[in-house]
Amino acid sequence: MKSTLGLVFVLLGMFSLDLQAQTARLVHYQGTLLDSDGAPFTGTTDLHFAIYTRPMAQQPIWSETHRNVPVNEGRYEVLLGSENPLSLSFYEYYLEVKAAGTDQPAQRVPIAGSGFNYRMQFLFAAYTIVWLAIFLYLVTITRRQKKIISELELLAQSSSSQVTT
Amino acid sequence: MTLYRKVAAILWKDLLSEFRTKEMIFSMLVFSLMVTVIFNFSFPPGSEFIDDALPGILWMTFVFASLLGMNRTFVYEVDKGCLQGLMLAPMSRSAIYISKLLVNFVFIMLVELTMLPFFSIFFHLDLLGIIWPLLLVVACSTLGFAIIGTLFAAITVNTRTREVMLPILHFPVAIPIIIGAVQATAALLQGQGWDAVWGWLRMIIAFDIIFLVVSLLTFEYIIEE
Amino acid sequence: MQLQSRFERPVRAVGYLLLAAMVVNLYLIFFFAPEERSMGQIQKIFYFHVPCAWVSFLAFFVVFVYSIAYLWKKERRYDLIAHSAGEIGVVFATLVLITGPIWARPVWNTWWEWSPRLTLFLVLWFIFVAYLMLRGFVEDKEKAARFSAVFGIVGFLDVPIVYLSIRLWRDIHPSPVVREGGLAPDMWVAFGFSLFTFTLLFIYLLYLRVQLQKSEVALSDLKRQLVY
Repeated sequence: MKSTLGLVFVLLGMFSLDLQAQTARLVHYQGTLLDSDGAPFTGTTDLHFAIYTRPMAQQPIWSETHRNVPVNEGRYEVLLGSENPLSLSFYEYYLEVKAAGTDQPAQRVPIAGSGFNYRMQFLFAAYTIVWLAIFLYLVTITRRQKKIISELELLAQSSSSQVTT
Repeated sequence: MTLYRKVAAILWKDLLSEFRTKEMIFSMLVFSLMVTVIFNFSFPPGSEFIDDALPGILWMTFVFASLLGMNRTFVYEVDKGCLQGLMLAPMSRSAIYISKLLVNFVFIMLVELTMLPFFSIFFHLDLLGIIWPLLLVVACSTLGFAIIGTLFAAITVNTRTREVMLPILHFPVAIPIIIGAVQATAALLQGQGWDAVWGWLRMIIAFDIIFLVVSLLTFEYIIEE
Repeated sequence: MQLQSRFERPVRAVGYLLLAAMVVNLYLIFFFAPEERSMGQIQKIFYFHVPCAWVSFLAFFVVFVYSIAYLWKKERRYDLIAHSAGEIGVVFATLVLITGPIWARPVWNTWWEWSPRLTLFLVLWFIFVAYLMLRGFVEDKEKAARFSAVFGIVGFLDVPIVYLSIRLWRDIHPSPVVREGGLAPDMWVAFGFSLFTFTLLFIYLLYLRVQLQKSEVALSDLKRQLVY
């Protein structure tokens, strides 16, 4: 009975999750560009995009340059992955934007990549481990208990049969 | 006999027997020196990480040495049956605990005081400028190690794997002292004011008081037959 | 000591209640509680990561109380309860240390952070394990009971001090802190129920484990009797 209890909620758990995972191929990005005085920039410029896995990483895992991006009142939008396809399979990324003709890159911005659906795998793993551990513990206790009880009965029987002989 | 004289009696006995052979003190000292030298080799030569790591190195050395020393506290008592003799004598269990505690404290302090000049030399530290606060930190922390170490040594001397069991019991419980001692020493070495040091020292002293009380209350349950 | 506990029937009822509670709990976690804005689905680990931590603390508290009780009254039953609680505590502390990094990896992009709570749990785990090891390595059962009772008391009293010292240590080395968002009311419902379910689970496991201890004692007593 107790082991089926464990089994039931392990199964119930597995039912309740969706395992679909998808990788993002294109990311629509909107950004702001200010000129060196801090005023919103208007015009066209080349923008270089790079994605890193950590805020301080030196090597980007992906990069792409968009030429002649129109910037209006400091606003622009691009479709990342249109020239160099993305296949992000990590969990969190940092996007760095560099405008042509400048040395300083903008700050790295965290973006959620395809991460969200991969998080389900982690959730499922954690969940399974917890219930599995509890289930195994329950089963171990029950099994040992049964074994001892049968041993006790055996001893009780043999001692009573000894008494009669 | 007052408590004071009973404690003094056991203390004197243990100090005397140790000073005749000098086994424990000597091994603790050599061990500490070796550990210090090995720590030095774990860092690239001339690396600046060493300066930040120095308080840690100091205290890790002291912790390991003290564990070595405290292991021996009850070994003779149990192996040669002296413990029964002690317990038959008209003294309270607390007296036994306090005297053992003081023995451990004295020995570890001796090793630490001997090691400090070596540290000063090996790592180019000026310890004389901060010597009094440093000694205070060392004394309070050593007292803390000894308080729980003596209690646990009385336990582990009865276990199958004595030498290993004491660190396993001692380390997790001693973490507050280790953190406090390392940070207080770091504060002193970096020349931070007394307030910074006192913050950590306060915690160490609180730890000492709490666990002294707990040890005095529970020691009798360990050595009763 | 009697083997057939008078708690047999109520405990079976608790078992069924527990099963029902777990089903309801699963529903609440995965279908009722809303998805958290910044972390997404992975935040739902919270609903069993934190209750596991709670059960660990509860288990350790039980160890503390029954250790004192044992030293005071010297009743074997108290020692068995302390031992069982210690074991269950290790199981749940291990689960905390496993689910913690699993939660941290997708969210903070790292397996381990020396955050005060996680570090405290690591230390707590060590103290629990040392407690169980002590029991295992002492030959005499009665001595083992006494020694582990003392260590249980010292260990438990140490935990808040360790937490305090870790917090103070962290304050001088601040590093990325988890954004502790508030919980929506529906989340509180799921969380509260989760706590309830896990507490019930703890009581149930504790009872079973103590029963097993009692049987083992009965068996060894019987064997010894038969030898003489």
